Amino acid sequence: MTSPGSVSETDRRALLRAYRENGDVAARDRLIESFIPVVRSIAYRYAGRGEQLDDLEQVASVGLIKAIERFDLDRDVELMTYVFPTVVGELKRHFRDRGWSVTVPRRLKELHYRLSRLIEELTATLGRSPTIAELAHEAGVEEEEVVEALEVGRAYASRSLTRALDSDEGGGAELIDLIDDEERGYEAAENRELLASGLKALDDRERRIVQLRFVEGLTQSQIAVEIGISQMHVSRLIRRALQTLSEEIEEA
Amino acid sequence: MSISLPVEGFVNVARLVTAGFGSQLEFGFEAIDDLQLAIELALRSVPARDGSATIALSSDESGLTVIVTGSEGAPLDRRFPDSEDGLDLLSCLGRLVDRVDFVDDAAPAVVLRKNRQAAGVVPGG
Repeated sequence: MTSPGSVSETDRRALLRAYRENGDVAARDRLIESFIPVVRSIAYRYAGRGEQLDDLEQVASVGLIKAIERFDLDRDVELMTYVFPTVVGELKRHFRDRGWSVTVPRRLKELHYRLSRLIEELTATLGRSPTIAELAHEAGVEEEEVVEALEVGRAYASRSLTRALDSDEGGGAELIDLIDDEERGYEAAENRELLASGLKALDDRERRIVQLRFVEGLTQSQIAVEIGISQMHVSRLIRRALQTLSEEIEEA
Repeated sequence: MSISLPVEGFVNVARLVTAGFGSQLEFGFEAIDDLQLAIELALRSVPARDGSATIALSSDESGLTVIVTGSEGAPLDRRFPDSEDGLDLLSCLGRLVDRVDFVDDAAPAVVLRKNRQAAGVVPGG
C-alpha cells in the first residue's frame, strides 16, 4: 500500500487526471490507497459513539470515493482540502441517518451496543450463534432485557446511506445475471424488469449481501466475515434491503 | 400461542414474541433473527383486508412452527416476482427457515418451520 507521505498533491492530481481522462482504474485505486490512512484517522475520531470502527471506516471510504468522483480538477484547490470535509460529511450523515428513530432509553442503547460485541465474541468462542440465555448470562442481565435490547436495535433509521452512490462494482448485475433469459416468456421478462428495478434501489453492499444470503445461502455470520462488518450490521442491512426491494416492487 | 395484530406498525410486537418464543426453545441469536425476518416477509405477503393478520406459534421436540394467516377472500401476495432461480418469496423464506408451505385456502397462510437442530440449539440444552 502507498504511504500517505509518498504521494504529493501533484502526483494525486496526475492519478486523478489519468483516471478521468483515460479511464485508468489502477490510477484511481492508487489514489484511493494514498488517502486510506487519512480516512482511517477521520473514522477513528468518530469511534466510541456506538458504531464499530470497521463500519465507520467503510462509511468514510464511501466519502472518499465520492470526493474523488466529484473533485473539480480545474479548481485551484488541493485534493486533500476537498476530501477531508467530504469524508467528515459522510460520517455525519451516517450518524444522522442511523440515529435512533424512536426514543430509546439510554440503558437499552448501551446494552444493545454491548450485545453487538458479545454476539461477535461468543460466536467466535462457541463456534455457533449464542442463545439469548448465554447473551443474558454474559451481559449480566435478564433474558427479557436481551430480547428488548436486540429489538431496539431495529429502531435505527432505515434510510440507505449510499442509495444515490453510483458505483461500477456491478453487484446487482451479478444477481440479475443469475436469471437465465433463455426460453422465458413475456411474464418472466416483466418479472426480471421488476426485480432489476428493485435491485437498482439497493446500494452495492446491500445487493452483495442479498446475493450472499438469498442466492448463495451464506449465513449472517459468514457474510459478516466476507464483507468485514458485524453480524448485527449484516442483520440490519438484510432487513433494510428486503424492505427496500419490497417497496420498490410494490410501487412498480 | 396465537396473536392477531395490525400488519402496519406492529411488526416489532411480532418480533418480540418470536424472540421470546425462540429464546424459550434455546434457539441461537442468528436463528431467531432469521425467523423474525421470515415472519416479517410473511406478514407482508398475506392479504390483510382489515389490516390485521394472525401469527400462531407452536413448538414440539423437533422445533418451532409459525403460521401467519391473513384475511379471507384474497390471494397470497408473493411480493417478490416468481423466478426460477432469483429472489422469489419461496426462495427467500427457504433461506431463513427449514421449511415453507403456502396455504392458498379461503384465508391464505404462510407456514414456516424452524428445526431445533438447525437453529443452533445447544445439545442437551
